[in-house]
Amino acid sequence: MKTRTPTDQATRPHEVGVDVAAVALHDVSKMFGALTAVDCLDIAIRRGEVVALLGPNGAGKTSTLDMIVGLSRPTDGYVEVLGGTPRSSVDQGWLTEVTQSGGLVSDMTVFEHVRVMADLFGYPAQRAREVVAEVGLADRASRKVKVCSGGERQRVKFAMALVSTPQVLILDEPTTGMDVAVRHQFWAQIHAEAERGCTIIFATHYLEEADQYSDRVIMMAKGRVVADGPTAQVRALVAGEVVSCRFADIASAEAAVSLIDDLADHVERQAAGLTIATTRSDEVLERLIMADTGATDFRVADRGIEDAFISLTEARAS
Amino acid sequence: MTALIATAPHRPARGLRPYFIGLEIKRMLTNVAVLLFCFALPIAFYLFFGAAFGAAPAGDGNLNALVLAMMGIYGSIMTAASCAYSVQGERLGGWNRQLRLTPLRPLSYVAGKIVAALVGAFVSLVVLYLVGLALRQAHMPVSAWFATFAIAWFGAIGFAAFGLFVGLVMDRGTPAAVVVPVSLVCGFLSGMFQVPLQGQVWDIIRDIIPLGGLVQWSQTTFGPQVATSTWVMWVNTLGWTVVFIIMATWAFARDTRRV
Repeated sequence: MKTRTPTDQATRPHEVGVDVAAVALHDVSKMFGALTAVDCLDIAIRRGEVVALLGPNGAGKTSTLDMIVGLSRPTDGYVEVLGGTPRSSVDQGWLTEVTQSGGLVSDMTVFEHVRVMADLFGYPAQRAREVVAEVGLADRASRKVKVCSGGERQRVKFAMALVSTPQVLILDEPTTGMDVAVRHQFWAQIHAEAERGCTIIFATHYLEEADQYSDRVIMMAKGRVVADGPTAQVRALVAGEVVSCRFADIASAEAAVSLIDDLADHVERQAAGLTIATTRSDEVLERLIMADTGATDFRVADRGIEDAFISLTEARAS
Repeated sequence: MTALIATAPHRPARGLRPYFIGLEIKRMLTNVAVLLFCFALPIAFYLFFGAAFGAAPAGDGNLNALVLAMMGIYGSIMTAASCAYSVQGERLGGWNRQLRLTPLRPLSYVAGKIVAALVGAFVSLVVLYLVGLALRQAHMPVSAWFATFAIAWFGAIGFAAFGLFVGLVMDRGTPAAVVVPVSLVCGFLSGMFQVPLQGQVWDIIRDIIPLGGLVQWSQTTFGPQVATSTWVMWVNTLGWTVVFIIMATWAFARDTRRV
């Protein structure tokens, strides 16, 4: 876990104690008409954490991020960023966002983009020049973005987000549509920010991305948190296979459950059937067959992330 | 948990930011398509209508001068409203979301765009009036040259806001398809194109619609007497300006579109 002390932020004129959460959601819900997009989230993100919001489309990730940056208001509950409102953190330049693909104006130059952000946050031109150099675009500063490559555009957006030295960086599906090289470069930059002590919160639907780049994964489905913990721990929940089988009656199904309980991450009962999520499917099968449980209709499938989400959500709901 | 946050913020950057406005002005004046369309068309209209109406007297001047004043309004508001076209692209490209995540307030954004539009409108008016002076066919009192210029220029404020509103709320289609017809219809009904619409109903419409106030203000500077009372013209002119600014500000504030 990366933590930092207030003294690490030499560039900051203020001090926020380390025990103040970077982002705190207090029983936050968001309704769109009858639809509940976000259902009573209660999350505290410590300063310096790199957090992945993992979930399938429609899980409420974007709605959650929109409330964190203050562009949408919770229907219920409230959001705190660095001990204040999202808006106050945005105004200070402590909370910024790197958008997925847009955010640039084709007839403006690289420098103009960064310079106008610096201006709006009350920084002089010098600050814009520094950041443009920092992201390696000093020699392309006077180019219009319409002639920039995808990687260069990404760096322009990064420079815009960094100009106010943010402490919390929000990224919504940041790498969608990026080619491999650009994606690699992108995460290298994000990591440099994390090293500096910046809190990073990114939404993704790739388990792999969450796994590789975060300290903590918050898994969401249907507007709720279905798992939250260190990345390795959450990964175990969704990795592996799903073994399903059927039994003659409920009693023998229950007997089988007690037999393989230590191997299963999660067991779901459907009448006289079982669905067992596990990373050790070979052993599960072996025990079920060897112990003569009367199990039939075996099926073993890779545990896709969508499946994992669904089973976790149902586990929560029941 | 003890909150240790101290209230010693980075110096606040509120209100109008100089670089932001400068950049908007630069972008306005380098938009070649807008310049050609918005600057050249009023001049062409002036040459055409001005010649058609010729030197017939009108108030303390002639009809040619009245056409010049009217085309001044037309060029000014069309140039100002042209911000709609670039704003739609900026918004759909996610630029507005970027701006919303800065200390920039909706009213400051609108004000910045209006200042840029005023610069564009000013240039369009200067060009048109220079043509008018060079041709020596327009006759009106010196004060009216300045007054009609100023009135036309003032119109840019409201129509820049109107253009912004259209650009900010339209997701599909070209904003020009709304901005141009609305401006033209208001122009016709307010008497901008010298089409005589006489009768009580037309008078009432003229007093109510956007541009009605501006056109009549301009006409009163030297032209034929206008029956409408001054307070109606004040309410019309200032009222629409304020309404359009409120609409544009609202449209920016509600917009969180991400791409």
